[in-house]
Amino acid sequence: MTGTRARVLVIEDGHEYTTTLGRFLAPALDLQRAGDGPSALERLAQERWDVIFLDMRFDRASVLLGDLDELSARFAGDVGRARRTLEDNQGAYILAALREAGCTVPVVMSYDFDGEPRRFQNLARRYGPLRYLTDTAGPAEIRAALLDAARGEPA
Amino acid sequence: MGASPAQAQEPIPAEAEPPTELSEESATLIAARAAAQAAEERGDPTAALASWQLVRAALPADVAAAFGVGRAHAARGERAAALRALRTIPHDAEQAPAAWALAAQLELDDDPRAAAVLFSQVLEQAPADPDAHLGRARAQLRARARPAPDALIADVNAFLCCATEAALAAATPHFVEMSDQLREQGLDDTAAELLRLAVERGVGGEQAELQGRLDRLLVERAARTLTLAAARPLSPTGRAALERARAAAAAGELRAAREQLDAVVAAEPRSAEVRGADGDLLLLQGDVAGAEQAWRWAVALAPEQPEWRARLGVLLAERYAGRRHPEAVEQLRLATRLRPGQAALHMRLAEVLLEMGSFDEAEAELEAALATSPEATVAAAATRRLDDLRRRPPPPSEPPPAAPEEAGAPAAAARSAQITRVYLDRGELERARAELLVVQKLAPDWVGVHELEAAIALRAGDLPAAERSFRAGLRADPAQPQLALALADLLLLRGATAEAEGWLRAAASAGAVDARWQLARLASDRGDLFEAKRELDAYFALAPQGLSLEPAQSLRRQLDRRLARLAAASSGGLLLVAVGAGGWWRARRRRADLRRMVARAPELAPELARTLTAIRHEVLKHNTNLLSDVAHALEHGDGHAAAFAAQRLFGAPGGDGGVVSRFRGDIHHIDVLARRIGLRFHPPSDPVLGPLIDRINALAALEGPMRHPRDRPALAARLRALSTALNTDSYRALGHLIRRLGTLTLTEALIRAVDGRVRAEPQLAGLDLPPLALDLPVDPPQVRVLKGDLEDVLANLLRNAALAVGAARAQGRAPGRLGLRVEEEDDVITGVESVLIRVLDDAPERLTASMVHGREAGRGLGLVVDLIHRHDGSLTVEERPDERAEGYTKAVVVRLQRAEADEVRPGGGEGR
Repeated sequence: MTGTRARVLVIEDGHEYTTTLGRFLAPALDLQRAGDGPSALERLAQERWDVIFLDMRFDRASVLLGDLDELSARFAGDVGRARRTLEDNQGAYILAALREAGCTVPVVMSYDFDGEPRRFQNLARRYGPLRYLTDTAGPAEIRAALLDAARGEPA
Repeated sequence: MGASPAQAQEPIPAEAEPPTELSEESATLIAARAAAQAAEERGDPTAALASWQLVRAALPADVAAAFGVGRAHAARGERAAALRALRTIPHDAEQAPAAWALAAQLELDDDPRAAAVLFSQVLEQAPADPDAHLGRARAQLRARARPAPDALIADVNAFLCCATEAALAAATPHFVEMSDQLREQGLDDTAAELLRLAVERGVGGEQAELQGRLDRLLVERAARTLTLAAARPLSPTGRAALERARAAAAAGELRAAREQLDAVVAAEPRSAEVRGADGDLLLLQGDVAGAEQAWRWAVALAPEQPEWRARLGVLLAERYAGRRHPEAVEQLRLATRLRPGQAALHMRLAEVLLEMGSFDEAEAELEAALATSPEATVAAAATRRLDDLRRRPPPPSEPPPAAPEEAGAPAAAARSAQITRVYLDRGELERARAELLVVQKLAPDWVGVHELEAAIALRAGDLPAAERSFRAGLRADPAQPQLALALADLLLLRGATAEAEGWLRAAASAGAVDARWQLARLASDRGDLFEAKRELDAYFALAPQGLSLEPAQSLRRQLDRRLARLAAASSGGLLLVAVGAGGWWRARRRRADLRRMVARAPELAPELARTLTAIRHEVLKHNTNLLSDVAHALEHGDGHAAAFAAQRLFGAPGGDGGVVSRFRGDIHHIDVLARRIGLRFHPPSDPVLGPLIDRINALAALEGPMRHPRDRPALAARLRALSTALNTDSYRALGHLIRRLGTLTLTEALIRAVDGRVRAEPQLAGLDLPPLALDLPVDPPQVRVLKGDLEDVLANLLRNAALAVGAARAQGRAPGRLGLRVEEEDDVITGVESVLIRVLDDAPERLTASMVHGREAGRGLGLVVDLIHRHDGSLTVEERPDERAEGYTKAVVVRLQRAEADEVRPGGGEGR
């Protein structure tokens, strides 16, 4: 982390986090947004970031990472269902893709893993450093988590 | 002059008195500053300028004076002079951002690129400044810098989020300008998004202007799309090829049908009938998404034709487990209005409405179906539907109609016709009529006018007018089978059967398949069984599937029985049993909480879990979660955050578009589910939702104070208390409840019990079956599935395997082995854990994926697949099981989601 403002790449398909966090956290953090997996990977390759804030569900992104054909086959040719699966889990797909691309920037996921601790352990084991914020986290907690992650501190 | 030693030893005062000359100058400057500020306050820029210039002459580096000179020049309209003054202000000065903002505003007209840079500089210092965000967006558009739509929308959102009410009220012209510029630059989608955001946020006192612009943009865009894809009539060659493809499909030769149809689609892509038939075949081939796409094409090409809407509606209703019911209702409702005499359509719509819990509307549709077709076939089908709502057969759809005609209209008239269709689609009948007048003026002889006229009349419920228009259309061009069919429907509705039959024959001979079914029905009604059978055979030959397929099959069974009786007996009347459909919806209503609802109807659990998840995610996570920060802002004197949150929670003032409204809709939906099983949801008795509803009601009571915060400390305290209750207590309670719904432990006892029941079935009696070899994990896994559903799935798969193994063993073709293995796996990308249930056997018969999922799937397997999909699982076939499955020849694999232990950990964890 350089300077006083951590550089945060917010990966979300809408503008909810950037708008809300921009209002509450802008003085402490330099928030930039990527709207889908490919553009996030591009920005990660081109610039230096301190931390990534990653949403899980992407139902408004036009481009989704993942193998739609393979999923369709798994779901008996139901492309609609395959696409929904990609949308519901797109954050995990982006996480896997950015680690595969060699990106080691700490990731904070916005997803309620409280109900799925084993799933979180699976992801953290493969794609750490990773932490998550419970859905009840407010801007202050998000800021603290992002800054801690950027500094490399343990959760 | 030197100082005396005595003087030198005197202590030096901290602040020496200034020399007399300086004091006078300072007094002059102080007076000048005061005069400048006073002049500014009274709106006299000339006097302000004179005073600021006086100060500046004495103190050239004075930032306040330079800024004052700049402001005064700007107020006098002297842009260049103002910019000269403002540019002297150093970047590290305290007032620099304000000066840049003023400079940027001045540059906006003449040098928007420079203005955009200046606004960005302001935002570096003050990232939340709403005016700078709006200014940057405007400047970039004026500079034609083709800003990234995302960045532009982000700026606009930042303005809308944080601007004062006064700024919002004055922003209409800016939004008008920006949307115009976006459209000029070909960015219609971004323009629509920008206008939509502005309208939602209530920009401007004259919202109607922005709403009007948005409407116009959407209509023009939709009309352009339609114009680009205007329908073309099907050529005779194309029709012959299409009929060959249909015949091949009806004969089960899907590959040949596909080849022929692909050629027709390539040759005549703008024929709605071809696109519709393509959808039929794609669905036969199991390509649901492809069929949806093809029918959307057909609807776009011929929006006033109900057939494609009906197919689309049925597909959406049947294939998406209720998630797309609202879309399905929209399509089916339009189809029934366009074809009010189609009983099957009314029944389909009624089914979807029943599933949505809209009982009153469903009742109306069922009555319409029965009134339209009171004979036994439809009545029996209706009754069966009502009694068997949750066990419906695979989705049929309606047979294809004839192609629409739109050739012969001048381009301008065609464009107006498309705009008419858009208005018709949106239900804006007056506008549709007005636009139709334009079409009539431009192309008075164009036959398509009559069909549009009839479509408008049907949407308005004016059946006589629709009939007149259909007749006029057929007089102008008799070769329009779809018009003949529609006219026949209307005639049947008013009892003119003989004339209707004539039109049906005309339509049938021109290729309208549905007319065959109608003719069969009429023949059956008048007792001409042989004629009915002939027409029905023709219908089945041409329509391998269709919306009327099921009643048609029912009629055929009925005809077969009647013909057999005629042949076998010389006496005895035919018995037609009409089963009334009334009374079923008057279910007993009793109070219940969620626990009782699930206890009575476990199959409701997935839908309840979805609804509760939506509440947890949409209401709590993304909205009420802000309350503590709003309280914090209020405690520090900032009321904007409260107003911002109020907008999200309660929507526009006086409206009901906010999150609280959505929450109430979700609670209503739970009540609808309860009524579906004869109960009535009673929130006060629910330990989770009761308190949540109370808290949301308490929040709703704060709408006024949040929009206009006065007693800020008191409001902050209330919001903080509600935040804790909602975002901690209710949130966790909901999560716990959701996780508890619909999970079970997959134990050996459960599997053995199912296996025992299957072996006791009569069809397996006498078979020499091997014991079921079980291979289970030490700790039985938790699975996200309803017990009854899992038992049905296992019973079906074990039964199939047992029958195959029993037969193979009896014939000496296999030693006979039956097994069931349970394993766990996690998806390498999503981390989601699954439980795999492999049902193994050694029978030599092959089982392929298409036999499980395709149209060839037996009814039992079809139900299994549906049940598994309902729980977000999947079913696959392994033709060569892995090495652990030694001796087995195949495995049917059920994948279900593993339910996690209900351990709630606050905070997160670090990956290693």
